[in-house]
Amino acid sequence: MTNYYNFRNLNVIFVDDNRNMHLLMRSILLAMNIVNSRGCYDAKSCIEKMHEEAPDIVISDLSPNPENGLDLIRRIRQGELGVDPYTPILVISGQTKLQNVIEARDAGATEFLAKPVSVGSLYDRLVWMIENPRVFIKASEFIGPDRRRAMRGYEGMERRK
Amino acid sequence: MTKIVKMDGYEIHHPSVTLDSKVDKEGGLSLPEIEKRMSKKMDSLGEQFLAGIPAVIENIQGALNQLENGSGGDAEKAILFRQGHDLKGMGGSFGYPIMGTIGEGLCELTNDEVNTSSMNLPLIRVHLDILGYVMAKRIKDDTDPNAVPILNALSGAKPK
Repeated sequence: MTNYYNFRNLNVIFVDDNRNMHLLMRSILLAMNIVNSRGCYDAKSCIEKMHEEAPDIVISDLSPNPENGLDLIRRIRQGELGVDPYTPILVISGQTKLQNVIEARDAGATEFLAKPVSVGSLYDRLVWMIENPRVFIKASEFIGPDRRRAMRGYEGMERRK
Repeated sequence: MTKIVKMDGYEIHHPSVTLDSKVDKEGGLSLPEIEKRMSKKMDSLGEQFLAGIPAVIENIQGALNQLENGSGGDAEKAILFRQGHDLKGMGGSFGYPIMGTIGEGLCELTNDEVNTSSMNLPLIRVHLDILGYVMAKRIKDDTDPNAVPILNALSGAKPK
């Protein structure tokens, strides 16, 4: 008998400034049995919600407005308001140039997933994050997952085709 | 408790709580089962996405009009990029990858490397017209017979 991960107990916060993406993400998470999810439209409310109840993972867009993406990642890694700086952060973005991936990594993102997002790509990346936890590096100018073990990057989005 | 190993000039932190401690190793759904669940919702999600496209067109139209008549500037360019960026990210996610391609084209025409004064407004107009047509015909992807001329037009609507 094959066993599959049961995500039911995961507590997820997702951040995106687009209402349609909230509907889509909530639907995908529910389809994956993740019933405990909260959506935020900006970095400030994400930090506040993390402070109220710690999530197991944050899924964030990398919006053109840096307030939403890179800045949020840095604030989490700094432990603002006492949030857990080790919280895994999955960036989901339509900005998929190498430079965008590197910026996300250097801000402290755990993994990167390119939009368009699908059930398959999100499931794939979530399983990857579960099975491949990363140690953190704390230096004078950086705190985040060890960058020497590269993020899986955005090749995974097409891997299932 | 997080185990911290001090190195020369940095620390290695081993968080005590990891994602694998938060999920059960059994009792979950297979990916095909999850995809089957999701497919039931995709039609209605696609409809909601489509219902928001007229507002996107209106935003692009307004910004482009201002740029064309000389009253627009960086703010209007930013609006065009933002709308293109959203389309690029959401089109494929909601089952309309051809809209994602249109969004990608808009981003290329309005990104930071393009000067506001030298933007190719006629090509942006072509993208806007195609977006309106794709929405009206509900063209999802290249399997639609109406998609061929659209894809040809899009590949021709690239900056030289």
